[in-house]
Amino acid sequence: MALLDIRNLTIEFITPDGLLRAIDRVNLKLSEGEIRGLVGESGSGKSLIAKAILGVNNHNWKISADRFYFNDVDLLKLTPKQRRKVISDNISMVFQEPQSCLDPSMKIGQQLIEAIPRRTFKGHWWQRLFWRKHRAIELLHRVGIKDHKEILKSYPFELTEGECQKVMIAIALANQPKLLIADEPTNAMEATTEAQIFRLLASMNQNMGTTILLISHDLQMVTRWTDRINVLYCGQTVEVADSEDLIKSPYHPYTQALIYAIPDFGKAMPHKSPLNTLPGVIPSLEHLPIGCRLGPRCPYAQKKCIQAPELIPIKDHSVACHFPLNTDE
Amino acid sequence: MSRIIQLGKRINSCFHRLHSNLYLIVSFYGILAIAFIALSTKWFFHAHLNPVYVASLPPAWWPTGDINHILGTTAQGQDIFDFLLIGYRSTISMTLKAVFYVIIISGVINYLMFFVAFIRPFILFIFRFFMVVPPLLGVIVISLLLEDDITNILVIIGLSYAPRFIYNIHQRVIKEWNKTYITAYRLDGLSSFSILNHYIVPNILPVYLTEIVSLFGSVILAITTITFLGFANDFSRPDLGMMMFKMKDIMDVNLLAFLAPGIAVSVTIILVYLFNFGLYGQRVGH
Repeated sequence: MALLDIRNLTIEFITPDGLLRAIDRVNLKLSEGEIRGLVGESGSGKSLIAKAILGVNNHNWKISADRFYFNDVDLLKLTPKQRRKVISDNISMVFQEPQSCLDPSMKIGQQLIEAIPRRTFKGHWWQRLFWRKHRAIELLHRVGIKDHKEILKSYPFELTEGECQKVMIAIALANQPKLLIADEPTNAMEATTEAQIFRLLASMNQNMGTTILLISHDLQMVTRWTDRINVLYCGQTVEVADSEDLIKSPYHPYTQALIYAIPDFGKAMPHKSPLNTLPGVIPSLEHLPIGCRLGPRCPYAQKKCIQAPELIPIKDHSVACHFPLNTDE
Repeated sequence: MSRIIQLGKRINSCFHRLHSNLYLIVSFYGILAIAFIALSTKWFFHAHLNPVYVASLPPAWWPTGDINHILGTTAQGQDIFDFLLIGYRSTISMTLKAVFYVIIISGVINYLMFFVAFIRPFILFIFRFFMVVPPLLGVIVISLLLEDDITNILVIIGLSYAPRFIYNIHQRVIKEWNKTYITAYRLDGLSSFSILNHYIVPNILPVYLTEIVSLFGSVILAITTITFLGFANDFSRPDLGMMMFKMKDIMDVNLLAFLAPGIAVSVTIILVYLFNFGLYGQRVGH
């Protein structure tokens, strides 16, 4: 059963010059217990989708969708209060820049204790005394923090980015969510801490069956940790496939460009040789090209690309391109 | 019992923090001294405005001076040091009153602006009007139309400085509201009311304090300037501006009598700013 089922999600910004379509008819279907990757350049709309799921939108956003179901509940039909209840009970988010996600004027212990909902208490009535503190310690141990005394007494600015992110994951765990959205959780972190964080997320998925939506711009890393990947470009889904398939035989020129952009340190690279990138930059929302949004940057673009391509399923792989690569056709 | 122990620990920690920073040490004890002077004009200094000498006296260090009248006396025989103490007390109490009312009114308006979104443009429009009217012009108009009374003057000063204060706090609240940790609290299902009171207000406290200090400085200067220019002068309760207004006649024989109120106002502003600087530095971990 699909835990999250979004069809034709469109997010538009209301501006004095009219509506700007930031997210264009994006589909996202997550099954229970899977780890899904959402990959794209900065500005491709990954975080917007996450915010739309969580309902933390600005006043000038116009969100519409043909279907927006979470756990068989239509989120678009709920009142803000009902939606807040559904989201807070079932979804947690791990943000990028963990230090800015923690209240700077409150000790970690207090924040963690406050994040533990009453409904998560399991035990006899006499065990209620200090149960939140015991649970907070247990959560810190679970995310790999052994020196809980020091951490509980600290303020966020006294911790490292890695420790803050582990605390954030502990806070997310406290809620026992069905869906965890991790928005670039290891952004600007060193490689060892990055590996620790991903191992933690993966163990959360395996032990508790938490569904994870992993948002990142690093295709190589996402491929390693996720089951299936959605590739976004300029607010449109360009390709959806299983992680291994996607990296082995990408159908969309943009996905191929992302794979080629990963530097191969196994081979000798000529001095000052340019990295493989697409020409140009991601267009601004005010100046989106007609038809395929990748068109002006695509090395395979043809006349037909002035028409917007639909997302076509090819076996277990979907691609939005008139001239897909690596297919037998 | 444990709460009392915790309170004791907190007081102890506050005391240690207070003595860990030179700015805080100087400013805290300076402000204590100011408070003492302002509160003890009658029972400690026995200050009064009755004539104590038959004619004008120069400061005590002049050959014709009298040590009992350290800053000399006015032409009416009033002791200038006593005048300064009474004027200082009066100025400080008027400033604190104006600042207090501005804080209370601003708090209410800030709450309204945060929760009732549709009144924001209307309030901001009114603010823009009040912000462009200089306080002095407002005072002149009010003294022409209404009674030239200190209460009216304080209302005008409050109205001139409140919009900027409210606007700055509102901007800061909105900035804090858009931060990621507040988004995280919103995801936890907390109401806007609880987020504002429990998480935003404690985090904007340093900014709030800075704004209050800035407001205090502006209001004390505005009151002194306006009374110096001759508005709302009630000679039964003189303040520092009025004292300067009166002492300008004896400026050529006793310059210090004219300068003393200005020095008192400047020292007060410096001490309050130093205290704020010390506190803010502590909070941001410098």
